[in-house]
Amino acid sequence: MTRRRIKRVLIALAGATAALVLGCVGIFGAWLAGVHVPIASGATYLRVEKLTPIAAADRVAGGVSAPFFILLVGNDSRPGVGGARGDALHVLGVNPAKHQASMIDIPRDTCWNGDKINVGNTQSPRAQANDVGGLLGIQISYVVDVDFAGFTGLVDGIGGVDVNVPMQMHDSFSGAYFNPGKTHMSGTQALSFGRDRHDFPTSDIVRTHNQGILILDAMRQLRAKMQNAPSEFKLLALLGRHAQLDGIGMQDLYHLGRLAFSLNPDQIQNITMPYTGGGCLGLGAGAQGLFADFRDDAIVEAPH
Amino acid sequence: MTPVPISFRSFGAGAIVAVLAVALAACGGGGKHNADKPTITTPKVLAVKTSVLKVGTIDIESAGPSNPIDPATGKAVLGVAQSYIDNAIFAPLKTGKLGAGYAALFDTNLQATATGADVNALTELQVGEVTKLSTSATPVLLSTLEGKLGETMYLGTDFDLNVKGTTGAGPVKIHRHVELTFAHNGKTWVVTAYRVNAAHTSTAGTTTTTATGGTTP
Repeated sequence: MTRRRIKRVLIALAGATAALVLGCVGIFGAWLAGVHVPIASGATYLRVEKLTPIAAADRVAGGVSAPFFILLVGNDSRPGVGGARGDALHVLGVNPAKHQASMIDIPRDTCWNGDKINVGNTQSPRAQANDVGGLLGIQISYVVDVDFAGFTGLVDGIGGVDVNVPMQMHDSFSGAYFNPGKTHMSGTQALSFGRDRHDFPTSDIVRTHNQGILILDAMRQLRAKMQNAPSEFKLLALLGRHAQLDGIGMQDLYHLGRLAFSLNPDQIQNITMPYTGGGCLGLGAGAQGLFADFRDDAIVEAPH
Repeated sequence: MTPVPISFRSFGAGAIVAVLAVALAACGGGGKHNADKPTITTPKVLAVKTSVLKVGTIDIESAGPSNPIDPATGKAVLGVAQSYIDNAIFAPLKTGKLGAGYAALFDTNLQATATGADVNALTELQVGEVTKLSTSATPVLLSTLEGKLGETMYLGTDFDLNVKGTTGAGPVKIHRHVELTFAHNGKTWVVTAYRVNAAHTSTAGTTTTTATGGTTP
């Protein structure tokens, strides 16, 4: 190799190294500047995406007064099963001014635009939020998406969850074997509880309601723990290590958490959407009235 | 959450924490406080010692690498917590009015509620002036949340405050659990969230109040 050629190779190597270094510095600088790079520092348990900004006009007396909606998605992605369909769909409506909330459970087999609604999540959680928001006539502000591994990791990360099991469960498909009553569950057990549908004649309808029970029980337990700053910081640090944040920072998570834990889960209605038919489900009697009740202030006032 | 004692070594930062403890103790040390002294212009001010906050336990939670609390930061935050009890608790009990620096202790997002809807839960305005006053405070549980680079994002102070005094209606006992969370606003550390529980016991019975702030997403 001639000296000139060696010189060219060295220059090329130096250029590549400089580009790499500058690229890394650029990403680091962007991170420092507040650009939310969607990377979790540990295993990713969940993804949190902010879809719509909370308008400054909604800020009254230092707080957000306007109701807003959060879509909670449990997707079915796991080894051997791709696609990440939204098999658990729950919309939490929060009214900060009234310190109240309601939750509507959407069966995964609900028909939407000629297909089952859970297909939306195979495109993205945002697409799933658009579909569910379209069904209910609301704009969803945040979407939280979790897969099987993330769910178990998250539940184990908070030390398990106490679930009020509503009925006998004995299902080899999901691995759910529970007696009625309060049961402390690991991540794997909680996943089994949330997946069991073969125990029930109405299959996914009871399952989706049970998922709502699980969510509220987890909120109840976390709320009891979040009584001082260290416990809040511990949970937030866990999320910081394992959540992929998009359009939202840890400061937002902190205040969202404070808001969530200021709500009394005992006063949050857990309502499964009325449905009709089988296979691809249609809206049942009362569904439109329920949605209208929900979308005006994020709270379902009438009994459903 | 397992609080980490101030003498912990697991983070390999015992020396720094010790420095912090000394600095914070120095901050609260001396046992003297400006508000203790009566002045000529306000003769009604009680000449009593009020509680001085001191750090007890430190807890560090991090989304990334864990770092000890910077002593200057810990000292600054403890100073704001002290200002809170001076302005919100002791000033009304001595003068019937909030301390002049009360509102500025809070993040701008919180000032409206801290001086409005939550003012009676956060302060002793309703009790007003007392003729006798004795106080004690538990050591402060100082906690921090660090971000993915180990940078300090929030600091929390948790402590209990006990007050005894005598109003025109008779003796009153006050117990407060105070949790203040601090964020840096670019200039100084301000209260960005709070959770305060208060119980007032008098001859008429016991009343409890709670205020939670900082729930703005």
